Order: sequence, then C-alpha cells, then structure tokens
Amino acid sequence: MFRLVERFCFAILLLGAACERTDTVSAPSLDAGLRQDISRWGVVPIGPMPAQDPALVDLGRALMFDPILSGNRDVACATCHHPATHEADGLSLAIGTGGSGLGPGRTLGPGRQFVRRNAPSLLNDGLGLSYLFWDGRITRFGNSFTPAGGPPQGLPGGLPDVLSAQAMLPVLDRREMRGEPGDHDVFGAPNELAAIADSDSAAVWRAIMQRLLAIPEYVDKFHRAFPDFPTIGLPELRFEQAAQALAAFQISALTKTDSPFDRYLNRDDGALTTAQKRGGRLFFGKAQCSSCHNGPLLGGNGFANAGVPQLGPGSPATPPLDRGRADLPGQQFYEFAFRVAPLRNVELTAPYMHDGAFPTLEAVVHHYNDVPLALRTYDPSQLEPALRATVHGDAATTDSVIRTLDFRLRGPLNLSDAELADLVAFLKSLTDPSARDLSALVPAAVPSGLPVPR
Amino acid sequence: MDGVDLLYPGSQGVDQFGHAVDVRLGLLKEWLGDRSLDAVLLYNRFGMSQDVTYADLFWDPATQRVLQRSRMDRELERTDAWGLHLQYERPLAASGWRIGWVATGNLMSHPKLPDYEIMSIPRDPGHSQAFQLGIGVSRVNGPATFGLDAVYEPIWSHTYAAAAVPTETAAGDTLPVGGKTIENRFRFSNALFRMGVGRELPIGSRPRAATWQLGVAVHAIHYWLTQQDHVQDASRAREDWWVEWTPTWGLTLRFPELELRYSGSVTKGTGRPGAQTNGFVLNDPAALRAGGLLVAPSGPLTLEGVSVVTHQLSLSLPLH
Repeated sequence: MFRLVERFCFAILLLGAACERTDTVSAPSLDAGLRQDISRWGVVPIGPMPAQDPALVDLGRALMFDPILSGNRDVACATCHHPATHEADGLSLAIGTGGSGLGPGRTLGPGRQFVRRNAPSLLNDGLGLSYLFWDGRITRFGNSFTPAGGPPQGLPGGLPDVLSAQAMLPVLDRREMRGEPGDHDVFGAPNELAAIADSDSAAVWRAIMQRLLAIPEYVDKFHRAFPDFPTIGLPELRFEQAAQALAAFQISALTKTDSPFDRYLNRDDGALTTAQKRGGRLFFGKAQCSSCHNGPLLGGNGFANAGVPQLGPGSPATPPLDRGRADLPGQQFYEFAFRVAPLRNVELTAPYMHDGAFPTLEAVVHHYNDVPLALRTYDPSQLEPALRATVHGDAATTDSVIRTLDFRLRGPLNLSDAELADLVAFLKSLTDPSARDLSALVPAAVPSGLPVPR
Repeated sequence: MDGVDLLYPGSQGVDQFGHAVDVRLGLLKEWLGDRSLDAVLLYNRFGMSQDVTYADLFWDPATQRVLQRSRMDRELERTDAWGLHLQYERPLAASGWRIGWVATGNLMSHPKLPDYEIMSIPRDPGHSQAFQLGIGVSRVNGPATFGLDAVYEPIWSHTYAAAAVPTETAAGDTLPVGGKTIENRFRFSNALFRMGVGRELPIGSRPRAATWQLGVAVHAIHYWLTQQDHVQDASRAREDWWVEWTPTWGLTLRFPELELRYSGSVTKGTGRPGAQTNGFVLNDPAALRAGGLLVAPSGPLTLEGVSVVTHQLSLSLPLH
C-alpha cells in the first residue's frame, strides 16, 4: 500500500515538473508606458516664470499694441500677433504694412506682397526657446543671440535675453512694419523710417525712439520702467529698452503652461483622456514626433526639413523658393529646414508650418504620415484663395525639397486613421485653457492715440 | 519596516512614523488519545505614515535650464485586521494515520493604502474577507513518512475609488465628494494541494542514516472581477486563473559527528501579477480626474513565466 502511494507521488512530481506556464508579457500600462516615453525624451514640467516688473510689462503692453512702431503707423506687433488669434494672425503668410483688416480676414494692400513666412504665435516664447524665428536667426547659444555668420542686421550687444533680441528685428523688415521707400503714413506724412537705408538698422531704431519719446505718456512709462536712466530722452535710452519691455510683456502675459499635459507631467494621471494618452504614446513612439519635438518645450531646439510645400514669394536670395535656415550665412546644410516649433497650445495657432501650408492639425498629421507622398499630392485648395496660385508644386521644386528631406521622414509611418485621431487628441491636450480667450490683453487705447488693432 | 523604500522607486528617502498593534489570544486543548485543538484569535492594527521625498526635474524658465526640486508625498497606511484560526488533529485508529483540519477567517479593512509607485498594489480603499478551509492526513510507517493536505481559500474583496471633486456622470447626475466613482469586486477561489513522502535508510549502525524526501505543492489561483463605473454608467467583468507547481526534494545524511541536510525546490508558473509590465490601465479619465486612483486591471493578465529554483544546504555539528 505504502509503495503504491510513493509511486503515485512520483507521478505527480513528474507531472508538475513537466508543466510550465507560457504566459505572455504584455505591454506596460498606458500610463507607465507614457511616463517612460516622456522621461526618455527629456520632457519635464515647466517651473514658475520669473516675476516681471509691472512698469516694464505696462510699457511692453503699450508698445505691443501701438502702430507707432511701424513706418506707416498702420500696423502694430499685435496686428500679426493678436490675442484674438492667440498671438498669431490666423493667416498662412503674414500681411504686414499696407494691409487692412485683422486676423484671417486681413487682406493685402495695393502693391504689397505677403510676408514670406507664417507669423508664429508668441505664446510661451518667454520660456527659454533655443531659437526664435522660423530660420532660427536668433539663438540663445553662444555669447550672443545670433547664429554663425555674425549679428543679423547689426543687432546690438548687451540685450538681456533672446526674446528682447527678437523684438529688435520686425521693425526693420519692410514688409512687416517699416514700409517701402516713398511710403506715406496713415496721416499722409512721409514715412521717415522707410527712407533709411537697409544697412543702417541703428538709425531705424533711433528714429522709432524719437517717435516714442515725443509722446509724454511714453516718456512717463519709460521713466517708470527704467528709473535708473537719469533723464528720459538721453541717448542712453535706446530701442533695446523698448525691446526689453516687449519681452517682459510676453513673459508676463503670454506664458500659458497649464495644459492637461502639463498637469499630467505634474503627476496628475487623470489629466489626460485615454485617447490623449494613446496619442501621447504614438507621439513619443511609433509616430516619431518626439525625435524632433522633445525637451521641456516639445520643440524649439532644432531644425528639420519636414517636406512642407513651398508657397508664397520666397526669400529674397532665392525667390520664389524659401530655403529656410540655409539662407543664413554658414548654414547651407539646412536646406529647406525650419525651426521645429514648440507645441504647447498648438491647437490654437493654425495654420501650421513655416508657410501655413496646413490649416488643421489633422492635415499636419496626415502630412507626416507619408511626407513624400503628401508633398507630391498637396492640395492648394486648403489655402486661402489669394495664396493658391503661389504654391510651387512643380516636380523640380518638390524633388529639391525631398532630396534634403529629414531622414526620419523619408518613409511612411503607416498610422491608421484612428491613430492619427489619437495623435490630434494628444496635441489638443497641450492647450492651456486660459490661452483660449486672451481678449483681456487688448488695451482700450495706446499712448500714440492711434487705433488699437482689434 | 525594512525595505519600504523599495516600494517608492526613484525616491530620495522615506521617513516613517506610526504605530502597530498586534494582539493574539491562543488556546490549546488536548484530549486523551492524542487529540488536540488549537485556536488563535488575532487582532492587528497598523497605522503608518510615510513621508516620501523625491527629487523632480523641471525646466526653470528663469535660468533656462533643467533643475531639480524636492517634493514630499505623505502616504498613509491604515489597516485593521481580525483573524480566527482553528486547527484540530487526531489519530485514525491504530493504523499510524493521523488526520487534521484547519479553518481560518480573516477580515480586513484598508481604508487607505499607500500610493505606491509599484502599480501592482491597489491604492483603492475597501475591505476584504479571506477564509481557509483545509484537511490533511499523514502516516508514519517505520522508516517511511507520508503527508498530504488540501486547502481551499475563498476570498472576497471590495474596493472603490472616491471622487475628490463633485463629478458629473454620464447619466447627468453629480457624484458628491467622497462618492464612489468606480467599484471593484474581486472573488478569489484558490486551492492548495501539498503532498510529500520520505524514507530513512540506515547506513551501518545507528544513528548513521540517510533520509530522502520528495514533495509537490500545487497552488491554483482563480479570480473573478466585476467592475462598476458609476461615472460612465458602465460595468464589465473578467476572469483569470493560473497554476503554480512547486516540486521539492531533500536528502539528509546523519552521522554521530554531524548532520548534513540538503533541500531544493523549483516553483513553476510563479508570475508577477500586476508588476510594471502588467496591463493595469486607468480606464476612465473622468473617474480618475475625480479620484486620481488606480483602478482594477482591464488588460490581459501578465504573469511572466519564471522559474524560482531554491537550493538549501545546512550542516549541523552537535556540541558535546
């Protein structure tokens, strides 16, 4: 009997040894995977912005909305970077001086041309972007705010930050703000800014300061913003101070980093919907978006030729094409490459890319799903009518763009429609709700008494 | 508690403070005929706070660099448990066989468990009842021994997530703060079977002897989960089961001068349910916004097919 029991036990033992689980290891949970992805790409929460001097912010706000900074006194910074259109203009290509209207309804003036590139939103420019402008001509790397090739247009030294440096340049651009030789301002007076030679940037900045300091309210605002200057009107007070005030206003009023994604970064697992989390996993994974849009700001730190259709007047060096960063001295490597845009609040800042070729986020992700195919089959009807004829979709141009296409974009991603929808959902999670309505930023009046763009 | 810091990966430090109460009342009754009854009544209360310090990276717009900042999370662990254990054994006639049974009941309320980083540990508050019923027989027959027992473990668990803010439901109602957003009801039906044999073989004169042992334990885990989502007004159910096999073996060599023991086991089918690779998902964003709690698993169960092999060697030297 006992031997029988022993043999039975042996049989059980052998059976147990023969049995082995073959469980499959599934993917990590949505949150665990997404958080791993996020950390892998250097995406960390944004800390608090440094407080700005209220007097400086007040001066900057006045300057932002005052058309007096433009040669013809008809456009302000806010004309193309307006709160109603989330600090952009809603146009594919910006319309500068001479235009009429505001936002997507703005139209070219007689004899005027589109600005060659899209007016990027100013939201979150104060966070510390590595590069500003689509070609990154202003950078915070190195000892100055300039790329290789020397200071653009004689940018003065001593500017406190990259944002102040950026504010120095649009007033020099003839299409954007300065005007063409022979222009007259809105009162019929000769445009003295437009008469200055392009090579003499300092004279343009001096002339603008003369305009500003001729207005007592500006004298007062400058005095309160810069009390260290002993006497307002001294030569020491230059346009750099105006640029500094513009930067302070942007830092203070246009920093919007309380999006659901930001809350998720701050450990709120419930801040994102399931679709947004799926989209996040795609963004940081299969769709490869994060290979460019990475770091704390989800972009702004590099350049890429994303195969965007060429349209518009092009750059002065190679019209009608816009070679992007390659137009800067010593940057020929970056053929058709433009700054990788930071993505917070991207939902609000259509149209997209350096020339506004895509009116929706859906169109953007569709483009990235197969860039060569999308470029060759680009449909100009998605543009505003005035720009449709300016699309350079000929084979030679398209081949030129594809030849230097970023290596990460040369093959299709093969994302399904559902995955593309999830990607868009994720991009919409980058929106700070407080950025949806910025109308409170528009002042009732500006010191010059000129009409406030609204 | 040693090792609690391992529950918070990436933490810089854990400060613990709190109290633990463990009260046991035991009873042993022996009758003629080698019959006995053991009874143990248990009350366990555990209240511990853990201040967990982390160093988080963040982008500092002022310096335009990635910096570190300190963050402290206070985790509260509050558990109350009542338990009763009964054990009875007696011989079966004069054949050398013995029989016994055990019965155990545990009631546990865990209104708050730590917000562990390890995702396998549910954070939901709730309560559980776990029971154990078992019977076993054994026999000593000269140099041979044999034992066998079987245990059944029914377990019920009810956990929930509570709304941190008033939460609108799909039906248009509003759950108040503290209202249940998601309820998880687990029912386990586990079984354990163990069997072993051993025989002593003389080596020359006594006490020289060799003894070998062989055994096997089979643990079957089976659970059902029903989940009710009061925010989305939805429910679902899932069922999972797996079996763990543990063969064991051993050999003892006994001499007048020393005793050498070796034992080994291999557990197959042991997994890590709910570890980092587990399919736990935050299935309902609205409820999670409300409570911020981890809900029950919804993805496929993940148990990595690992084998745990144990070898133990011991040497005993008697002191005269």
